[in-house]
Amino acid sequence: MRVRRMGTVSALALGIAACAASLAASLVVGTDALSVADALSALLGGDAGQSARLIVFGIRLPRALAAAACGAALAGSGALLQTALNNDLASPGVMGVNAGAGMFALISGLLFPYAVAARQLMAFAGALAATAVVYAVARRAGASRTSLVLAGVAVSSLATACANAIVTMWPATVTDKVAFSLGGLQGATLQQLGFAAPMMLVGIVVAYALAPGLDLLALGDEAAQGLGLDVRRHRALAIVCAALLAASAVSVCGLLGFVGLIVPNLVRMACGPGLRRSLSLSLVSGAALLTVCDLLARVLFFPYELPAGLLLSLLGAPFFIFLLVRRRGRAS
Amino acid sequence: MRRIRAFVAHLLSVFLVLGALGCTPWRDERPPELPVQLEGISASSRVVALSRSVGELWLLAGGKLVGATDDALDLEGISQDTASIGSLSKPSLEQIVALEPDLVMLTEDLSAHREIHESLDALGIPVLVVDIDSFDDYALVMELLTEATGRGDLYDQDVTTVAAEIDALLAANRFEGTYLAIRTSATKNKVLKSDYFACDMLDDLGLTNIADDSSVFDELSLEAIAEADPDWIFVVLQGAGDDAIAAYREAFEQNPVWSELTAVCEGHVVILPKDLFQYKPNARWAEAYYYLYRILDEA
Amino acid sequence: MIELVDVIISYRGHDALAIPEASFGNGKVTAVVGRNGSGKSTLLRALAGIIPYRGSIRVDGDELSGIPHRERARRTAYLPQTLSTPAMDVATLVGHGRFSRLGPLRAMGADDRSAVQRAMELTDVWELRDRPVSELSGGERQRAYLAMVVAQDAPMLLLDEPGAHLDVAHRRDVVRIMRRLADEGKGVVVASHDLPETFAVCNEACVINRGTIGAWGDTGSIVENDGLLLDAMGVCVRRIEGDGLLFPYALSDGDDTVGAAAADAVRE
Repeated sequence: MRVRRMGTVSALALGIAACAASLAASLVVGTDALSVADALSALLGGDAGQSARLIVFGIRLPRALAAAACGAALAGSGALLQTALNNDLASPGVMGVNAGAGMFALISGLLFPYAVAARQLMAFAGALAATAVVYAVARRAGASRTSLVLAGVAVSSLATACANAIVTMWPATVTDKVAFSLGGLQGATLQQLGFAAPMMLVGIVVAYALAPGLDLLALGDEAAQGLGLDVRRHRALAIVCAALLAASAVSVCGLLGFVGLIVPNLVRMACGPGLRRSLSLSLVSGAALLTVCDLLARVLFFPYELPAGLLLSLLGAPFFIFLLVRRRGRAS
Repeated sequence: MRRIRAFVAHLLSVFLVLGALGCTPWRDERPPELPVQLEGISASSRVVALSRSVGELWLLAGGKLVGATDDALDLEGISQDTASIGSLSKPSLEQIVALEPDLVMLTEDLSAHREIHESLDALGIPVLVVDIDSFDDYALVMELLTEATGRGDLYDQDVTTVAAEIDALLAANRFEGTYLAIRTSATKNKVLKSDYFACDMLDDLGLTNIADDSSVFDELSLEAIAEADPDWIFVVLQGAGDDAIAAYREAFEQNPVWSELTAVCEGHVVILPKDLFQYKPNARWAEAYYYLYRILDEA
Repeated sequence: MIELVDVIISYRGHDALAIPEASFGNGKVTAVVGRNGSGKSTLLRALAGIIPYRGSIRVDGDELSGIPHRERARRTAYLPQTLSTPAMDVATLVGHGRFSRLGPLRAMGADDRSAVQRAMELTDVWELRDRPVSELSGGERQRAYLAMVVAQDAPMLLLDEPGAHLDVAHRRDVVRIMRRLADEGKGVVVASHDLPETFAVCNEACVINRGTIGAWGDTGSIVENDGLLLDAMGVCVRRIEGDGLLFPYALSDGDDTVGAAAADAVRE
C-alpha cells in the first residue's frame, strides 16, 4: 500500500503555522513567574512592569529564537547528510560533529572555565575540525559513502575517548561534560545567536543551491556523474555545509543531535523525496519541534528545568519507533 | 580541495585566537574592596541566592532572601516568602528575573551558574560572585556584606568572635603528622587538596596533606596511598549519606591493603559531618576547627 | 564524435586497456563486444569521463578531461550497467536526465518537460510515470533509466548492457530505440555480450580482446571473422537468410565447416 502524501504546499503551510504557533506560545505560555495575561500585555506594549518585559524579551524571546534556529539548522543538516550519504541513518553525529564539539567544549571548560563565549567558539571549531578530519581520512580511503561513515565512527570514538581522558584527568570538568551532552537552551543569549545565525543562514542558502545535484546521488555515483554532477566535489560541499549548520547549532544548544536524525526521516515519510522540498519542510518542522520541546522543558516542572535533549529523546524516540514499525507493517 | 583545506585551517586558528583573547581577564583573584554590585544594597534589598552556602552568608549578614535554590530552603532564616528558583544544578532564569532581584549571589563552580551569570549580565541584573575556600575568604565577604546591611554587630558576632576562637584554638596546640582527605559519593571518589576548605583547616592545625604536591594521588591509587601511609584519613560524604557510606566501604574498606594502613590500624579514619564540612561552615567555622582540633587532640 | 589516440585506461590499479587509435562517430550504432571482464565497461566509463585515462580522448574536438562536468554531460550521456533503486517516481527519475541542461535555479522549463515526455514515450514508460521506481520490475526500471539517458539529449549515448533484465520483446524494443536514435543522427556506443541482437542493430563493431581493441570494422566484416570472434568470445556468429527476422544472426560454436577452417587458420 502506498503511503498517502501530503501536498508540498499544504505541508509547508502547516509547518510554518506550527513554527509560528510554537514561537508565540513560547513567549506567552504562563508560569508562576509570569501569567499569560501579563506576558501578553508585555508583548503588546501594555503596562506590565519591568520584570515582565525582561522575562518576555530578555529571556523567552532569545530562547525561543535560539530553539527555532537550532532546530532548523540541525534538521537541515540531517536532511543534507542523509541525501549526500544516501543513508537514512545519517545525522550530524555521523560526521563526528557531536564528538568533536563535545571534546572541544570540554577543553574550553578546562582552559577558560569562566568564559561562556569561549565555549561556544570552541564547540563550533571542534565540530568543524572533527568533520574535516573525518573527510580527510575518508578521502584517503576513496571518499566513498561507506568510508565516510566508517571514518566518522572512528573519529567520533577517538574524540569521545579524548573527552573521557580529560574527564578522568580533571574530574572537575565532568559537570561541563554532562551539561553539554544533555543539551539545552537555558543559557542561550542573543549574543550567541548573533554569532551562530549568520552561519546558519549561509549554510541554508548553500544547501538549497546544492539540493538538486544531491538528489542525483540517489541514482548511484556513476549515474550521477554521467548526468553531469561532480560527485566528489558536490558531496564534499554538502558535508561542509551540513557541518557548518550543525556546528553553529551545537555551539548554542549543546548536543541535541536527535533532531537531525528524526526530523528529515519524518518529513520523507510524509512527503517523499526531492531535497529542496524535504529541506524546506525539515527546516520548519525542526524549528517547531525544538521550540515546543524547549517550551515544555521550561514550564513543565517550573521552576525546575528539564534538559531539552532529554525531553526530545523521551518524546521523539517512541514516536519515531512507532512510525518505523507502522511503515514496515504496511510494506510487508 | 587544497583551497578549502587552507580556508578551514585559517578559520580554526582565527577562532582559537579569538577564544583565547576573549576570556583571559575574566575573574579577579578576590572581589574588589567595595564591589559596585553592593552599592545601594541594604538589609531590605531583594536578594536571590543560587546555592546554600552563599544564601547562608547573606542571611548571616542580616539580610533576607526573596529566592533561593532548593538546597538552601531549609536554612535558618528562610521565610515563607522565599521562593524556590529550581534546583542547584539548573536554576530557572525566568523565576529569578520574576523575583525582580536587586542582587543575585552565586558561585561559579557550576557551568549552569556561569551561563546564568552571563544571561543576568546581559539583562542588567547585578550579580555578586562569591568564592570561599578559606576562613579569610569568608571574613572578607562577610565584611562587605555586613557593611551593606549596616550590621557591624553581626560581623563581630559571626566573624570577629569566630576568628578569635580559631586563633585561640590554633595557639593552644599544634599537631604533627600526615593526612589524606577524600570526598566520596555514590558515583565518584575524589582526593581533596588545599583548595578545599577542610584541607585548609587541617593544614592550619599543622598536618600535612600527602596529596598536595603530587598528582599521584589524583586517581586514589591504593598503592601510592600505602606508600605514603598517612597518619590520618578524613572522609567527606557527598550526596545522600547512606549511599555515600556504602560506596566508600566498597571502594576502600574491603580492600586488604586498606586495613594495613597506619591510619586504619590506629582508628584514625574520620568521617566528617556533612553540615560542617560539605557545605561551607560559615558562622560555624570555629566549630568546624574545634571539631577537628578535638579529634586530633584526643588521639 | 569521440576520438581516442594512444589511450591507456587503468582500472583498480592496473592497466586494463591500451588503445592506440579509435573513433566513435555520430549517426551510427557502434557495438563494443568482448568477454566478461574484458574491459567493455571500463572503456565506456572512460568515454563517459567517470574514470581517469592517459593519452587523449577528444569529444567533439575538446580533450575530455578538460571539459566541465555539466558540459560533458551535454555531449555524452551514460547508462551504467548496475542501476540502483532510488526512492522516487519514474517521472522524477527521467527528469534528472535534464540536470545538465537546467538553468542556475535548476528549475525545469517547458522544453525540459517535453523532452522528458518524448523520452518516456520512446522507451514506453509514459504509462509508468507516476509509479515509484521501487515498485517497477527489472525491465521497467531498465527502460526508465534508458528514458532518463535519452532525455539528456546528448549527441553521443554510451549504454552499458541496456538489454540486461529485459524480456525478449523489450530487448527488441531497445534495439529499435537505438536504431532510431542513430537514424536521428546520434552516436550510440553499446556494450553488450548478446551478439545476435547487437549485430542486428550496429553499424560497426569493436571487439575487445586481450586488453586492447582486437578488431574494428563494419558489422559484416566482423561477423565473418570467425577466428577473431572465437578467440575473443569463444563463439562465432552465422548470418541467417530469411525475410522479416528480428535478429538475423545466430550463435555458433565454430564446429561447422567454415568455422573449423577458420579456426585452423588461426591455429596455424
